[in-house]
Amino acid sequence: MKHGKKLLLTVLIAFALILSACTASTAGEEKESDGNVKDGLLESESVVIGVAAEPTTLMGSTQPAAPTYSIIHNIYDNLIEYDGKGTFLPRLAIEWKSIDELTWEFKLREGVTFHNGAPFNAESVKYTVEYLMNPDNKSLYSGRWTDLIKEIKIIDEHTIQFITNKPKANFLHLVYTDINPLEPGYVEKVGIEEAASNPIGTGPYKFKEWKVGESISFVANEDFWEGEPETKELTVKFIPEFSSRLSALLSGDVELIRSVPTDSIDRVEQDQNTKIISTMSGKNAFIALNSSKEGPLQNVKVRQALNHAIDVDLLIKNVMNGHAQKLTSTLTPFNVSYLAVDEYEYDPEKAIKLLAEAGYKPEDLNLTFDTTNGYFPMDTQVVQAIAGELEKLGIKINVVQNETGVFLQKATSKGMGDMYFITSAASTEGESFYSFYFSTTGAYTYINDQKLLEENVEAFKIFDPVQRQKAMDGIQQRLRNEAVSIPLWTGEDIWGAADNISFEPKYSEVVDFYSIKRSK
Amino acid sequence: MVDFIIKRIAQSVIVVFLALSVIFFLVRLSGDPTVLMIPADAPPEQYEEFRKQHGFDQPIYMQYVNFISSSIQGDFGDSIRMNTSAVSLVIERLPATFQLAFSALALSVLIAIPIGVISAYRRNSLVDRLGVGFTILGQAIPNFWLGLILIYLFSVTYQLLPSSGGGSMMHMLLPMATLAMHSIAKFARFTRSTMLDVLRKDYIRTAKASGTPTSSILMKYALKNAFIPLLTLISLELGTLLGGAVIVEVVFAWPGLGRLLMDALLNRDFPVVLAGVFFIALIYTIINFITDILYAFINPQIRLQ
Amino acid sequence: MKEGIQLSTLKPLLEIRNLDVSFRTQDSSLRIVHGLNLTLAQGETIGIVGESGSGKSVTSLAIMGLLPKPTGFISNGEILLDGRKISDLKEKEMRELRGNDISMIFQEPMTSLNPVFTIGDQLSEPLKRHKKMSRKERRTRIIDMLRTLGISRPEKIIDEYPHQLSGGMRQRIMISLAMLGEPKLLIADEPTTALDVTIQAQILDLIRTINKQKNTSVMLITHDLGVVAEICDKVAVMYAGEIVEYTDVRTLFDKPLHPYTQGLIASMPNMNERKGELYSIAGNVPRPTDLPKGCHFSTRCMYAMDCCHEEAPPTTSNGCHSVRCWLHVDQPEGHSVEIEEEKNVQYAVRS
Repeated sequence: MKHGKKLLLTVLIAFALILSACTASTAGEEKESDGNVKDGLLESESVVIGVAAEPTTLMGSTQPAAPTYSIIHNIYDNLIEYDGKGTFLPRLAIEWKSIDELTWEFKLREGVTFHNGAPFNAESVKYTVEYLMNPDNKSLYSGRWTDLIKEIKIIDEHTIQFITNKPKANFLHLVYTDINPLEPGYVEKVGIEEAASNPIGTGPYKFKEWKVGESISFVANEDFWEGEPETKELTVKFIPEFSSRLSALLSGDVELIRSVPTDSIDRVEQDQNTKIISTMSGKNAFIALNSSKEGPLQNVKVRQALNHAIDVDLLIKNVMNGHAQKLTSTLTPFNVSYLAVDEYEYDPEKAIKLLAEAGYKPEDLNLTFDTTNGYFPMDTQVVQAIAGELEKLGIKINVVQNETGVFLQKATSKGMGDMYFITSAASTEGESFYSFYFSTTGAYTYINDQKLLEENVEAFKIFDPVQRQKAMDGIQQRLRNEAVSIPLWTGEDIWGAADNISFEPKYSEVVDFYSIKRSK
Repeated sequence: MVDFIIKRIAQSVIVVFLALSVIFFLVRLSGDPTVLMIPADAPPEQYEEFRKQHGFDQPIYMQYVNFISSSIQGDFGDSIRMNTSAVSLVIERLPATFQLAFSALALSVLIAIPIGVISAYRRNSLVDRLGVGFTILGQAIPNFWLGLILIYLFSVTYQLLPSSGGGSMMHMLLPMATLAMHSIAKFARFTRSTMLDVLRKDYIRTAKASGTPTSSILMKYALKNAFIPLLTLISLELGTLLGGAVIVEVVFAWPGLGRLLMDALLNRDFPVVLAGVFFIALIYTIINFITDILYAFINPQIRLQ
Repeated sequence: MKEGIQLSTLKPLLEIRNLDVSFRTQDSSLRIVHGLNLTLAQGETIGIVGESGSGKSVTSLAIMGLLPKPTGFISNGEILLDGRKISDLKEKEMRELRGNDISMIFQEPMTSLNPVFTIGDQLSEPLKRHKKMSRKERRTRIIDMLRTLGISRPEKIIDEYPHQLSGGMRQRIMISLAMLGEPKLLIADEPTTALDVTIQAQILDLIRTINKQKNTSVMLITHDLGVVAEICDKVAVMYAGEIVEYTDVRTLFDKPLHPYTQGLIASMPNMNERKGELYSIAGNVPRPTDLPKGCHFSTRCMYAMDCCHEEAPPTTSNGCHSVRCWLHVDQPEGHSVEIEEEKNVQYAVRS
């Protein structure tokens, strides 16, 4: 008996010792390092951002996936930037023009230097494009450049010309997203592997340290051409789980978190120290109505009926918590080619009538509905809600949840069911969206109307802006009439932030570090 | 002893080889990573080029032969996503994984054994009931949930510990505690039942008859016997902790191997998956080997055989 | 007078008075040993005989204070060692006695030693607890003891593990363990049951030697009357938790009074007569939960009378021989001790 007690006591004391050791050192730790939030005395310049996914490389012009490009634009900058409202803004290029259908000329900003002091000039732009076209470098942008570029001409130190093999009306959009000027001397000297993990660019922030699996830290580039950024130090932490990201924000470990789900917005707003910052993103959420597969959806009336059967406004209210903007076209308003086509208003009776005209009763339809599980924002919730609406009409819906890889594989190999929910990343010009969903060669093309697809491809070749927009309008109108999809909405990019942080999210989902500021 | 080591090495090679082979075919069942990597608007030729570059255009048995012949030389290829050596990516994550797994294991052994011993000695007492309740709770609470609760308590409410990330001892405390909870429950239950068994043995009565005090009977004479089966459980658990702490790593954004492997698996980054499996299998066999040696150390009856 | 018949005039070392041992069950408690009276003088050897389930091992554990806690407890009576009451000592005080004043050897030498500690480790335990000795002194002492007990190469054995030794060797080790504390009382619970016959003789011989040389009192618990005949001074026969007959060895074998004792003696294998079959008492010891009313042996007793089924017999004693049987109580039916002579003969011819 007595010994039991003694033993218990020993254990308790050991516990107490461990605990006290922990708390003591916690206190010490806080004072030494990042006591950034809690007490004003020790406030540091560093702002910590929590995002879900980690970049796979820090090499510019290599990886178009969002986790990478949303961050590395701060290291490398761009030649030009599309503002999402129809205008290109100067960045490292100050002027640009198409001399003829095959020649584009860019005047570059003078006096810009890379983080290592090397000057930025036409040579670095040429080097970057050659870098991304070289298959050895495994740049995932290469595909759309190799066949396009005939020659890259350096006119003078700060003037460069691209000569293309064929007219490319949306060339500026490629220049915007694909070219992150690299420093030729540096890359040649240290090699690609080193340049990818220790990058040098001209952007507002210099790379400081990459703790793999944890965080990447940056320091302000005091020589940045737009002026030194206000926030001197910045760290991006990778916290895959949203609940953990939220906790990190609420505890003050981070001051800005990305991708707040619509159902957690209240939680952030209710806390007195945090707020929501959001913007409409260029993301395009829609239901693809697969007519490449044999079945009722090859009949346009059935596709129209499905459009009439779904109350998108209600979905936005209930599933998206109001944080989305309804779409009617296949493109979003952030796309320069956008046309506001008429919507298929919500009218279940009309839907049933259209089905009858096509020779179906709702009960005759037994449709497969594919979705990812957690890959696109709110995917399963959206799909369940839509399936519910259709089932109310008597249509049988079989929802199939797919692992992301399987889903994409099905989408690219015509293996999808009758319909599927997909959210396309922001596209800025009609061709870049239509070329992969509605063209003869598009990997994700899912409609069986070959004539329509061929006409689209013809439209891509039109160079004259006015004629081109006419053609784009025509495509949108036709796709609308053919009811190739059920347009849903363009969602918001929702951030949680500490109260004293100001930040401007972009439609393109690039995280603009330069706009992150902390009020004193 | 030399025979034993040679035999074990041969066994290990076979185990690692089989594990790699099984995983090689399993990961390829759902297709290749091309669609996940190549941007949607890339021309079809780029898809083909990508497949060719990574050998996915070859029949699967050829891919297997190529994989085996290069992996024998320690070359698992480059990560498809990151263009860097898969082996180095895995090795980069090992320290964090080891740190978390070993500290969680140490914590759970230190806590679980006394709980189990006291529960067994004072069976059906309040302490025992609390202990049993605690262990049932520990095994029933999902790691994910427990992790979030701990974060909420220690980071959000009391702001004592950082909520997530790696790096310092402070960062490790919460994931370690979360991970240990399940092991503590498992070990404590097992210690209790084994100790109950051992305490009924004749040799414990003998020790009592010699006037040995209870503490010495429990912690010396009984525990060493109970520790033999416990050792198996501990070594198995270490394997689990090293390879399977994915959920805890995700919740706490801990830069460990589990998270790397999960990302690699979801993105079909086969070289990283296989390199990871290789190291886990290797570590597993090493742990087994060490366990066997420890066995012989604790249990004299094995030493002679 | 029922209490403590005096078989010797020596000063008693161990006295057990009216001992009841009970075990707690779910809602009540169960009496396993009832009304036990024993005395054992310095240097004396007593045998406790009975079938399994008769309560003899429980008695020994009660003396050692090793009744399984918290179920087993002494519900009545007392145990005295050297005149000191030990039945209500605190665990810590009791621990001082164990391995020091009282030692015990157990039935199963194969399992009574801890498999993961060396012989030396285990034998050091009583010395560590009760004697102030250095490590080296302990080692010397153990080696000496092992040698004394006829173990060859003790310097080597001391560093070996139990599984490396034979059963007989292990029982010698157990005896060494018991004797290292130089106890006044040695309790041996079926010390030879698990051993080969030749080894049995050696072990009994050893116990007898210890008894003679060190003047250690021995309590030998066994189901084997042969063993008792060989080394004991006196015997208590136990049945269903009670002593049914208690006397010196010679008297017991010459003139057993209780039908149960007679049965036991009759069931002993006899070297001189080659019987085709051994005698055995029909039935089993009743479980403590369903003891028969009256005399506990009545259900198996061939002489059972009406009164045997009604009322428990008192213990009758002539000063050096006590028995608990209605046959030996003066009572209305007029049965007496004398008629036993014929009955005895009957046993012999039977089978």
